[in-house]
Amino acid sequence: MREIIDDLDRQFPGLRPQLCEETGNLRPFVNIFLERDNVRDLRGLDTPVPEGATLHVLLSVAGGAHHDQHDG
Amino acid sequence: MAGRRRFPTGTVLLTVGTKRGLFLLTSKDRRTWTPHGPFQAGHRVYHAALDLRGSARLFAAANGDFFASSLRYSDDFGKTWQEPERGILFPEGSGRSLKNMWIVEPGRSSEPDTLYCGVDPAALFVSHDRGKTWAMTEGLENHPTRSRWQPGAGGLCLHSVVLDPTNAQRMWVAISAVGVLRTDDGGATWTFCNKGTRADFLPDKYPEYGQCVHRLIGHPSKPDVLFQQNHCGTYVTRNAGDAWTDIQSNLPSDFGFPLAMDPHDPDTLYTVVESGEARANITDQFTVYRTENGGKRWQRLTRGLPKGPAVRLGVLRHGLCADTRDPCGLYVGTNTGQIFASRDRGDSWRLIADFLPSIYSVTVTVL
Repeated sequence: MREIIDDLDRQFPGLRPQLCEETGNLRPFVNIFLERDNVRDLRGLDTPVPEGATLHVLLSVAGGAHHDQHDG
Repeated sequence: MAGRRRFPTGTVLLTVGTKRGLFLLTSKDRRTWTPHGPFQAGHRVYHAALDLRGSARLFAAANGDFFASSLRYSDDFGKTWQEPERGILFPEGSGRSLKNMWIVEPGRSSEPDTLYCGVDPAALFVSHDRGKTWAMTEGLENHPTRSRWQPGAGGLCLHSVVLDPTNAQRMWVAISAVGVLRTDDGGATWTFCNKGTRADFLPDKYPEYGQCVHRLIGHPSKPDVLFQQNHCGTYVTRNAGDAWTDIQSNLPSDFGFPLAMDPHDPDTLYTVVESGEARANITDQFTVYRTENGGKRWQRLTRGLPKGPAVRLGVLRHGLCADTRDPCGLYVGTNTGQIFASRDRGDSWRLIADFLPSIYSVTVTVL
């Protein structure tokens, strides 16, 4: 999975920061599905991706309470 | 220069950073205001700055909840935005990830391509090509106490950058809840400047560091004079931060966020203090406070500002600013989406915008 993101970032410079934090982890609301499985439920970015597999990159624009930490 | 021509010379332009994007307000006479935007509406814009050195370039510290944060810039007042080639990113291997960008500060006039950006977790980034590429400064990151710095309620945020206009090697930053630091060698090393500022929430009330500074501003003509609004008081230093004097005087609270200065009379300061518990005006009257003698005595400014049992407004650290007209105009944005403006140095106020998202910052530029 990491190699695919590296390759995408080469083809589309600046894409990686949209998907991953600087620590290398996936951003909280970015979900990557290998076929129908969320890679978080597999081995995260260490998940092996078979030849010919379909990946879906989906942004979950989550709702609900968001604690505003600006004030303090 | 194309961007600057969009508005007539003399136009007063406000940048208003909100929880849901950036708004601009423009006025020729400071009576009638025209709103523009929102821009970057999917982002929390903590701060924005219009850099007039060279062509006009608008920067917005756009913090993402769902998308990545980016310090984008626009050369046409928000119509189109450029992504930096290398943005505000911590170096791989640092173990840190950007949480929020808090301030973008154009550099000195002697360094027209330089800008600074303060972020959470506490770090200072610099660009030497007008925001195209950014790099983290190492000196602050390598400070020997760095691992012991603790965040305030807003995070471990570097929210204020003050440049000494006469000395390119000297600058100050303010970090909550670490305090003020100064460099005298262009950022290679940093010294704490917190002597005399209180930290009521710590066992040692006057520690070397750990103070929750809320806002730091510099004096335009006396580089050794700085003012700070703090979690525990309002202070002035007259020796570049070596020691601070409490200027709370008759202010009704030692808790407040914003601070602004009349550029024509730098002994005239403005602040909004509030109840530390309620984070809003202390009485039923929303009040801006002004001192005309560097903090010896504060006046209550209320004419045109709202009053009532249901009036409870908060103002965040970048929510108050003064323009360069004479007499200066004042602008205060609230965390409930109102902007009040004064065109007579605070003597009277008018509501110029309402129903905005929660306001994080207001900056003003006269074009």
